Amino acid sequence: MESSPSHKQSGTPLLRSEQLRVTYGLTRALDGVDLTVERGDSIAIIGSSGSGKSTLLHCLSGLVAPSEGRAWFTGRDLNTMSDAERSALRRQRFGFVFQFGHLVPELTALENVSLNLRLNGVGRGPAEETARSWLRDLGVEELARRRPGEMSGGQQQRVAVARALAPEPDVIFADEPTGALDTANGELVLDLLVQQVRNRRCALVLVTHDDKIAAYAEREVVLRDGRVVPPATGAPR
Amino acid sequence: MAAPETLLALMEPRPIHGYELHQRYAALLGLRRPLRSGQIYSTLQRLQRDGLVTAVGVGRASGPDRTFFQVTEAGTSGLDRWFFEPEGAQHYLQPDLYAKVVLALLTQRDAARVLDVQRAAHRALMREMTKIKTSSNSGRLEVIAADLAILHLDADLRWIDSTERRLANIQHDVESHAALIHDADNK
Repeated sequence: MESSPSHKQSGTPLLRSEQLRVTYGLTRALDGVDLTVERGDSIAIIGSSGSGKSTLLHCLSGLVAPSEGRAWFTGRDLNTMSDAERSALRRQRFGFVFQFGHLVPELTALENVSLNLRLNGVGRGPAEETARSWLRDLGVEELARRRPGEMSGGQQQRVAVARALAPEPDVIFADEPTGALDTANGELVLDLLVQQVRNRRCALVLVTHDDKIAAYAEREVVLRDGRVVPPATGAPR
Repeated sequence: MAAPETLLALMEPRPIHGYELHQRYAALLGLRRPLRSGQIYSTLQRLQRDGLVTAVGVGRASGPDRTFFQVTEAGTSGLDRWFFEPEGAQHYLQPDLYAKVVLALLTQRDAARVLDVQRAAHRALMREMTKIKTSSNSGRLEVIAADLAILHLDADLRWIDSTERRLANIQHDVESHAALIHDADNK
């Protein structure tokens, strides 16, 4: 069960899951999650530590295979895709922002941001031009020639956001995306993510434990012990 | 917010009539706390009675005649005191919610549900405020007003979370208090 989307659309949703279950040993991380994400949707998956929110993001993006249940991207079952197909999907259609940048340490900021564009067939010149523009938007253009080891954690995080957004993904998956950032840069990143949804009508799946960050999304899905908590209501039970 | 002082401050730059004062309040301060025009006029009367403003003439731009008011020296002195005296720290920012939780426990109602419902309402308002904050149509004043609301809502939400974790213990405390009062009454 989930809270209803603010703007339901006809046609195949971008993302859908049905009765997702993930079990690690004796621990059930997800316990039957149904979710639909439309184009132009932004959802915040919230809950305390261990509630299953990161696991849900990993399942929806094909990073983790569910123990039971299914997940689809534009109607295609993620579990029936080959590894190569899922890799291409993550490179071309999905953008990932994690709490810590996870940049390639041997590459400069410019190379990190252009990497997926180059792998997607964009020529070096246009790829670097796009990458430079994103680095500028995130206020780290002057770091273009530096490697991650020569940057602060917050700077690495902003480069990682540029890398995620540069290929103009259909879905942005962001897991605690501002954890390494101060308030001003955190707001800059969240503003950029929201603008992407508004301007390009992509979708944003945002995982956070922070209500202030969750409020940037149009709707929320609350997880507790791997299950979606129905919206609280003041109506008599 | 102290309505008399805020209205007085809005009037200080130049003589102003009640209608314009209402508009100025709405434009600068009324984002989350609109004031009824009746409150404006009754406060103006009080300020005049207390010698903090004085009527300085009647004018008409369009519409009916309107009385213009000017802040007096006593009004300016009062504002000087008000601006530079810190606001009293409040122990309970949401006294109604605190009371509701305690009373829910006392009357054997579902206090966790009281908190859940409030949490959902707070989060919805926080989304609304965040939308204002991130809208390209919002001015800087609207952004800082939205920020103030967001940060206060966040403080309340943290209180809601911590109270929820402590409900079982609080239940015990509320019952103990009630029992003590009952015993004292029966002695």
